[in-house]
Parts: sequence; C-alpha cells; structure tokens
Amino acid sequence: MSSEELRQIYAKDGTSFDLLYDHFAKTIYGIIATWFSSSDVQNELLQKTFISIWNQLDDFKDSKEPLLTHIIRETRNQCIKEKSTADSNTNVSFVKLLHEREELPENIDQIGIQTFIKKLRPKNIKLIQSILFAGKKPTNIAHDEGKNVRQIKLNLRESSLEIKSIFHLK
Amino acid sequence: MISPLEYIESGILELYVAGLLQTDEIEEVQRMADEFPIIQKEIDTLIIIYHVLPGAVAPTLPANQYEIVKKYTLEGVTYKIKNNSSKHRNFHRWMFWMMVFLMLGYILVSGTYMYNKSIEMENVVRKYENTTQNLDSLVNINQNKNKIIDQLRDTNYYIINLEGQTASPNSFARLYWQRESKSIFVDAKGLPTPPVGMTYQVWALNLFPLTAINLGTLNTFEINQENLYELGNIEQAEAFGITLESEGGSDIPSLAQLFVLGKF
Repeated sequence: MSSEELRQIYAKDGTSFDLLYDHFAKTIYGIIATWFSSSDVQNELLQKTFISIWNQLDDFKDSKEPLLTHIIRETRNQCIKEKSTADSNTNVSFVKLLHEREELPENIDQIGIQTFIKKLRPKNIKLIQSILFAGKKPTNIAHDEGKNVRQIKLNLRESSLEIKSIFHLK
Repeated sequence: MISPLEYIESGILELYVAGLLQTDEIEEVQRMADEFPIIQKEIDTLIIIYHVLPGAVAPTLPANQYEIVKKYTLEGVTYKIKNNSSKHRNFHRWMFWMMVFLMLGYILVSGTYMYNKSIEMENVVRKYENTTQNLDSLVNINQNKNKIIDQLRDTNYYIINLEGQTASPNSFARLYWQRESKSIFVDAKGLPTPPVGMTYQVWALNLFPLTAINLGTLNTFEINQENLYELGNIEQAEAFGITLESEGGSDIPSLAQLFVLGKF
C-alpha cells in the first residue's frame, strides 16, 4: 500500500472505504475464518470489524503503528468478543483453510499449495497460527510449550524467514 | 548496544506487526525503525507477509458483502448488525421461552383435562353405583310385587270391596284376606293422598258388639305408588274400614273420618 493510498484511507473521503475494503477485506476475512467456520458468523464479523475500524481510523492515523497491525488486532478483538470465552484459541488451522481455498493469490498459486505447506515446518505453522491468527502472547505460548520467551521469538523469526524464502521476498 | 540485524533476528518485529507488543516495546521498535532503515524495510516485508497470509486462507468473499459492509460502515449503523445478532439471539431466547410456556401450558391443560376426566369418571362411577342400587331396589320391588301377585292369585283369598263413606264418598279400596294364613292385603289406590301430618289406618270391625282392631297404618302412601300394603294378621272380622288419623295412628278409629267401609 502506497503512502498516498494510506493518506486517502485516513482522509475518510469518497474513495476511502473502497480502498480499505479492497486492501484489507480478505485479510480480515481470513483471520475470522480461523476462528469461526460458520459463514453467517464470518460475514457478520466482517461487517462489525469494518465498522469498528472505520470509526477508529482517526486514532490509527495518530498512532505510528502500521494500519495493518491495527486491523489485525481489531479483527482478533472482534473474534474474541464474539466467542465470549476466556479460551481465545482459534478453531480452524490456516493451513486447512489454505487447502480449502479455490482462488489463491497469484504468488502462492504459482508455487503450489503442497509446496508451500511442505516448506513451512509444522512447528512454525503452529506458531504463526498462535501469534498472527489467535493473537496469543509469546509468554503464554512459552508457558504452554515449556520454552522460554526468547526461544519462541526466535522460532517466530525462523517462520518469517521460511515464508520470505517461499515468497521470494528479500 | 544491539545491532539492527540482531534486533531483526530477535523476532520482535514479527510481534510488532502482529500487534502483540506492549506500549514501551512499540515505542522502542518505532525508535529503532526511525534510526535504522533496514529495520523499517524488514517491517514493511513483514507487513506484506502478514497481510497476504490471512488473505490467502480467506474463503471467497460473498459478492454482496462489499455493498452490505459499505452501507453499514458509512451509515454508521454500528448497532444495526449487533441488533441483528441480538435479534438472532433474542429469537432463540424467545423460542426457548415459547417452548417453556408451551410445555407448561401443555402440562396445565393436560393436568386440568386429566383432573376433569377423573372427576367425570368419579361421577360416572357414582351414577353407575346409584343405577345399580336403583336397579337392585327395582328388582326387590318387582320381586315383592310378584310375591304379592302370586299370593293374591291364591283362590283362598276373600276379596272385600270397601266403599266410600260420608267423609269421602268417591273413595274406594279393596281388601284381600286369606283366613287360613290370616294374611291381609289392602289395595288403597282409590283413596286420595292424605293431608300432611295425617295417615290412613285400617281396622277390622266386629259389629256386635262394635269393636275395632287396628291392622296398621298406610305410612308409605305417597311413596308406594301401587298403594298395595300387606297388613297384620286377623283371624276374625265382620267388616273392614279405613279411617284418616293423625300421623302414627290412633288406638280407636275416628268414625267421623271413616273414608271407606266394607262388610265380609
């Protein structure tokens, strides 16, 4: 996303919503899909999340955090609210969702799903699921897995390097 | 002092982009990113990864979602969906209470129905018992009548017609007397219903000298529709009469109230 597009979104003018939706709807929908398998709930939560993000755009603008970070955090918060339980674990593995996808982004489609999954180690899949989709804090993951927080962070970094390698990102 | 590369390799930038850092850690990352372009570049790369990855696993968005989400978002109808959601929950809650009320209603109605049925059954049983008693009573009456008729068919019975006297000229009665067995029956159908507090009393009379022997009172005159009575025994009599007396009968006949009289 260019800085001009970002400015347009924060301006909340005629094109703001379309830009926001085009750029983030799938990201939001993907996170929600790992929490809830019902399409009715997924659609309702997509609407709720967009309304909430739209209403907080001014606050996000003042923050130095990336807009994506705000969006990921807000999406998870909406999922936690909807779930209404202390157990904030996601239900559906993002890898399983990947299998179910009919239309894939061009770069992933070219690589092939099986290749993508084969290259990503299971422990890293689990870690990405916990951190990105479920929003679980490293201290909690470390506690659950009997590791220290530093090790968890290093594993997380390792998963990023794996994905960067698969996507041919530098 | 940690180097930018070490900082990147620590894994803190992933947590920053994933939105899992505390305020002080966020400020530290932003400070480092401002200072070291390589860190900002790595953040930008992670933004791409964390942006694409959820998008890659997302199910296909329904075609109408764009319009719906846009409408709700721009109209600021923040509670519209919530209302739909709560409407959904309210519907379930409504359904639950409806079911409870229906169940209670069913229990109440069926309970009342069963109670009424049991009362009805009790009434039926009571009626049946009454009917049975009445039937027994009728059978007894019928048996008694048959017994009397059988007795009256005995040719040894003398029949004495009692005719109306000054006190009641239109009255009449008939008396059946079996001298051997000394039994007497009176057919009092021709007598008027006695006034309240009064009763008919039957007498066996001997004329010379005039004596009257009490044969009994017709106490069940109003109930005994046939007005056929079996009375006490008498061996000798020249005539029979029926007088109207006070309830309970009298020791001597009130001749002024002699309703019927017949000679043997």
